[in-house]
Amino acid sequence: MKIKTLILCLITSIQLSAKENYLAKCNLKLIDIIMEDVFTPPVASRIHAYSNIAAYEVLAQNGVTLKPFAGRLTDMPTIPKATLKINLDIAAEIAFLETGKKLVYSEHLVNAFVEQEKANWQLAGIDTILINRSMAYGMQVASILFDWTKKDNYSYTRTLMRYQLSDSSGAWQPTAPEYANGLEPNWHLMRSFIETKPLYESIAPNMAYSEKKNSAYHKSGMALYKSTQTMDSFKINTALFWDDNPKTAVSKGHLNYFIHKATPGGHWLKIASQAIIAKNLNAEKTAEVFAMSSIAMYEAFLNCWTQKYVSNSVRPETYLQRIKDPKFRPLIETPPFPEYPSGHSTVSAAIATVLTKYISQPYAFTDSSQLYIGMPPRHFKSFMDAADQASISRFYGGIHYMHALTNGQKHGVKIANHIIRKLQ
Amino acid sequence: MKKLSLLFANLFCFYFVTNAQKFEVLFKESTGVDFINLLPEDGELNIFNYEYFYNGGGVAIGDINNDGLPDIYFSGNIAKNKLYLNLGNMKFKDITTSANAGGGDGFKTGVNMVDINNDGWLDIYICKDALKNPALRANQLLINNKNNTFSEKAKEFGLADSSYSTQSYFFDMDVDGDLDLFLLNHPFNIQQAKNVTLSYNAQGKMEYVKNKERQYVSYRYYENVNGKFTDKTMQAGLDNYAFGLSAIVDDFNNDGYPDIYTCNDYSVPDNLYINNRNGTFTDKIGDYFSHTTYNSMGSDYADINNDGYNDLIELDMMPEDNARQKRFKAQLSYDQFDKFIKYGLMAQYVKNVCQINNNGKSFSDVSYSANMAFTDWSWAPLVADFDNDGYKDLFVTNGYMRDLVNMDFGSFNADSVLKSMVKNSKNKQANPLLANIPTEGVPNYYFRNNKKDGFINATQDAGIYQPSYSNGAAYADLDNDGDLDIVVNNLNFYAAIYKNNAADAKQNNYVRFKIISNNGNNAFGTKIEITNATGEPQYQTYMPSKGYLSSHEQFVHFGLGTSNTCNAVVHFNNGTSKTLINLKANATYTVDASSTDAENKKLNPTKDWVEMKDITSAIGVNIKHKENEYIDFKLEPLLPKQVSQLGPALAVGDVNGDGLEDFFAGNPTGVESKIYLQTKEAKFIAANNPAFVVDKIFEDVSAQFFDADNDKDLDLIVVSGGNEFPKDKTKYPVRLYLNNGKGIFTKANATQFPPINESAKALAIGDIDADGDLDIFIGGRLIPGAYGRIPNSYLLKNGDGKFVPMKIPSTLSNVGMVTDAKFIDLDEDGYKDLFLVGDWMPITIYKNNKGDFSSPPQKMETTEGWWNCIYEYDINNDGKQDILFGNTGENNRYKASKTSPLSILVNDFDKNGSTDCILGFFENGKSYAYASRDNLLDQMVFLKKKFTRYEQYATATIQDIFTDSQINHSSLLIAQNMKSMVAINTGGGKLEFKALPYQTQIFPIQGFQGFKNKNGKSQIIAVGNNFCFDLETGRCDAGKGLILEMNKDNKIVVKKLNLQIDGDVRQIQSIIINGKQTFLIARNNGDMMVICE
Repeated sequence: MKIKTLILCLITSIQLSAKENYLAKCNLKLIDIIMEDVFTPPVASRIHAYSNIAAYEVLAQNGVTLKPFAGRLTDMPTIPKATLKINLDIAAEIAFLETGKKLVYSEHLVNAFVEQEKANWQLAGIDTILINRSMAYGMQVASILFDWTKKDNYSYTRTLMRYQLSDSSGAWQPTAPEYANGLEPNWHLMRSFIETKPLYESIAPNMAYSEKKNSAYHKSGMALYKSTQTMDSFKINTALFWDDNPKTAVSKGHLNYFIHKATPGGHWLKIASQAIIAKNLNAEKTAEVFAMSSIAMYEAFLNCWTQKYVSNSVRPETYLQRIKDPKFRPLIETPPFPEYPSGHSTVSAAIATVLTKYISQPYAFTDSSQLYIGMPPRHFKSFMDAADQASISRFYGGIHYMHALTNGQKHGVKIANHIIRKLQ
Repeated sequence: MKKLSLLFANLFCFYFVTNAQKFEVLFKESTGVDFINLLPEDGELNIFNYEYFYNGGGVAIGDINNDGLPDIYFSGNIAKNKLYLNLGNMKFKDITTSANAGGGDGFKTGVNMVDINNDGWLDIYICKDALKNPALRANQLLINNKNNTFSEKAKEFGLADSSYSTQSYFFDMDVDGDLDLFLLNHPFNIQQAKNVTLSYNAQGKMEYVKNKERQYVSYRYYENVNGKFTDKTMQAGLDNYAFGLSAIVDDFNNDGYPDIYTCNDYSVPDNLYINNRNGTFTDKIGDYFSHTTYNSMGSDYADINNDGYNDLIELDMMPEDNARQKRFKAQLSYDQFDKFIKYGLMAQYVKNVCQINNNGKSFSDVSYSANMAFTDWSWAPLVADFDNDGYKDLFVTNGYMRDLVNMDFGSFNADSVLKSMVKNSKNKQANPLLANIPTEGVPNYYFRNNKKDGFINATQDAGIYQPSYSNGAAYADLDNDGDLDIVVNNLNFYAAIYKNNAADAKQNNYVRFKIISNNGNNAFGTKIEITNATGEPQYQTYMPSKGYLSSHEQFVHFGLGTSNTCNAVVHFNNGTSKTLINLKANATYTVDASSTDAENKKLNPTKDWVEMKDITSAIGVNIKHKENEYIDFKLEPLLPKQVSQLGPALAVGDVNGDGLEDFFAGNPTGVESKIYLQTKEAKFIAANNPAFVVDKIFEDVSAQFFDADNDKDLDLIVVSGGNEFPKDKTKYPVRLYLNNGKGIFTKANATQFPPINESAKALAIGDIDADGDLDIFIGGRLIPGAYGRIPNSYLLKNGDGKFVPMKIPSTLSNVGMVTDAKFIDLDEDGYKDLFLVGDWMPITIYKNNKGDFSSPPQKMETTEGWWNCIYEYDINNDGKQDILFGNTGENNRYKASKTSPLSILVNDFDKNGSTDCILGFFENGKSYAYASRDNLLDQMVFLKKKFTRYEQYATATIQDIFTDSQINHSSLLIAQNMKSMVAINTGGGKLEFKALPYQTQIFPIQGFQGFKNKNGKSQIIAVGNNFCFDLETGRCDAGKGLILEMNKDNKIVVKKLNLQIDGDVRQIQSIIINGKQTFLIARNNGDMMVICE
């Protein structure tokens, strides 16, 4: 009891800014940097997860309401408590940013942001010694957690064989215009935070590949084809709104460029930020929502990616060109990895489930996060409503069959519930 | 206008000539040619809605008023076309308006001067492109009114075609004496230009889907029927959906009928339409060419090595210098390239090609050894003898207004600009994006012929160093001084005249021909052979419409060097000929097709080839080696070449003691290797050997028959190799199979043969200790998945048929990545010494001191190379065995010399457990990595933090990429010599090393075999190639087999074969079939070939 009181006394909880939620701000900054560096969705989920875990852990070690993750997430080390008086919020923010910095490429963007934040703290009248001490602690946490990230097989999976083409009839094939290598074929070797890996086996198996009329696979293909021939503006805009492709190629002969968009995970963290601000959550609650969301994101990708390369299915683009219409092109660009199950469906369902649990309901919202690419805001009745739309957008976009959506969604919910149960 | 000239004012300056042949670049100030292909970038039509927006305009040259002075016509895309009358002395007068020659509205492209109505006066045909309204795309035909005016009559002639036209090619398709038209067009929709769509055809077979759209986009063929042109595209089989940027009309198969080669941008391969002599054509590109350019642009077809056959030059867009290469978009992905190969789109590469004609039977691209593979974004190649030395030179225009393929623009900057446009909710206009596409003019290139099937870059030497954006160009002797001047159409700057001063020096002579037919000008396709005073031949086809969007002067120009006279034979289309004897140099001769010789001479190209026969099917050999699919670059993106395709193994010997030689043919992992037995009828049948079935999981790359156990039959040693199984040494066992005397083999057990697991290749067998039995050297080739790390090599001593590894010093066991080994008693002491070559190894000789190899080896100085093979043969018939060494050759991207060696740094730089090999080269004394940023960062993710942009990496040296400590902790291998060599044995253990002649350096030599030909002369066949290089380098496929022999002066000379020993050849072995020396040639992923004299 005495010790706890002592710790509480060491910690000052100055509201950094009355108006802004610093973790929401940091998450938005990190989303931008990830977009700048063009991280792919699974790799981005890793950056989001570790950064948010870092912020959470600082607040959990030294705060009052959160239960530390150390010992509960695979191999996660315990971080030392601050021995001197620190500003908890500064420490949490620095832990977040410094962890993120180690995982992104454009370190200079993080550094510039930190400099700016430091100036703000000084302007707010926080003692420079306290700022420095808090920052040092945040960096210490980041450094410990960075050592932890090193053993998650990310580096190891970089050394493995990239995707080798297979000639078996239903095997995934690279698609136009980039014909890029299959993305992260060894992602299944990544460390799970809470051992959700066995769960992936419970994803319903994909339909058997078939080019025969009246086969389930063929019917799915035809249903998708029919849908793409009868698109309306709502469907088109839905596909574009949820495209979330971090590297969308625009290819006109020699004129090629890429539009960077936030990943599906990044899109959802923007939704989460908006909800957190709308509900005016405090720092600890904020950290919890972000950490749980990004762990769910990471685990959802891990499961989904594992299944993707197990089933190794061709994309509708390849299939429909083969058997139906050589001129078929999907509305949105087919991303370079196998079709089944839908990553966006899985991840959206997982994060929406977490948000539904941690943000008080009912919560209806208007998502204006896609203004940066010129897409107007959309209104949703609930997180699950948005997740449903994110999922069906892949069907409208012509890059997934219905089967991959429904099973992806089901699995996303299952992963999220598993995480909530384990980490609550 | 003022602004533009200000902008470019600094780019151009004048150069005064001093000694060698040079060009003086003249502009309107001195010539009066004030044409500018002025292209406003932000108009309704722009680069964002029309990809061929910056492709530029053409030049047509011809004497429109028959005053003896060639006049010039320029096309402007949006700018008005202009006609300049030549006033003499390099002065020109714009008569466009009075001549009614502006070409009308529309987006003008190719221009052509041609006497369409055969009245002796040149007319002008103008192609139109780009605009949506077909009426604005109707091509124009300006008929010469013989008074310096023209009348547009395209409709009357049936030539007002509204396709998206690139250029017109008038030629006599059916040899009926009038001109037909091939019109090169292209599709408008560029969106899917690079896609390779696959679908099932009616037969249920997956195939590449060809676009069936034809209206306005297909090539067009018009037949001239009594002066009226009729569209016969479909009947002729010339319809195609392809982005044609240039074409060559010439007699590719030497049958007297013109064929058509089309150079197609993007995925659709080039076509070689062979004239079937019945009004139809058949595309036979694959029969003649092994690969083509990917972004095919301009082309020329002319004899660059004076062997009597025209050679094809075709341009692409790869920049030459390191920094620009690294800023530019990388190549196709391996997976897309794989589709190209599997679905018939051919191997296509982003580099120029210089396709040397192999006696009319095939072509070998020698662009790298010809020093012209990379000339930036290139448009027009002009192949002509500009210095009048008797060998044709090469001028290349290049430049692109906006570096669309700049990787930072495409990957980062376009995105941020577009997003800021969204943010500022401006209209989505092109301008802000356009301003962010870098623009960098580059100088045109000029190469002199090096008389060795190639060129020397003489750009600066010739006075060309002004950056420009140059497109169409044409040559003509504008000032009638006896040399060819060049007219260049520049984008957004004044057209330039490159005045040639070759004739001023009065060193070299020339001769020119004017060919007329039926009193008109349309003798296109006429072939002219000349020989100078010393008998040296030259050859040209009269076909002015070549290059890019342009047509050259209506003459055939030959430089004669110092020769004062020449003889000429002119071959007309109708098969008649005219011989002209003892023509004085420095004059122009008019040859009229209507007055020909009584006796028709046949074309007489050099036929100095060696005849051999392909007897593969005659002896029942139908052996296909099918390599397993494995792309090494997917594990090791930084490899210079794949090393998983080293097979097949091939060994010859009489296995069943019937006096007939049999052979062993290895297979890749997954396929059983086999012995083929020779029957008395001289056929080959496969034998059944269960031991090989069991061992089919191994990839057999090398094998030899020898008597291992002294039981007087031939046993077999087989070496496994390749790169497919990283970290699994057990997949690479060396196996000894013992013969039961009847040709049935069983694997030796562990007491007979020790377990050796190594991805190996080299195998040498010989009695090293003079004890009467045969010992073995096995050279380690590589460590799978860790290229650059040194594998183990082994020496096995034979003791009563039991092999025991000898203790050898690490200088031998870790000597390098060995590719071949031979025991040769160099010092004639009765003990065979060991010769080794390898990847990144010098020629290395270990002296055998009575069975001991531990003394330090002799490493031949500056011979570190990428060697393939060693072969012993007495080439000069002096009774002493000489040695030939097959290297990678110089026809590839990797140039190595003593002063600029290649290097690899081998280390685990990022300490992630994988070996990183950094291939480096020198440019201007600085060491750079070959790898593109994408490839380097793919292998070493940590570097992404250092190089967040392509620009940062573009100029980074190896010292900038890595720290000193990282470099110092790496192992370093170097290569200084890529040339194949010969060591002449001068006796007493002395070898005299020499490079083999240049003709042998155009492909990697994988094997030699010597033989005495029917005249008793010693000859050697050299074969090879290597398809395993990275996509930036492209396949080394120029090898078609060569014959080496000694001439009277004791010099090695090289001859071509009538046969094409093409493909990815790995081995050649000699075998006696039916009592006759015959050669087995084994290809990787191809058919075995059997040839004999």
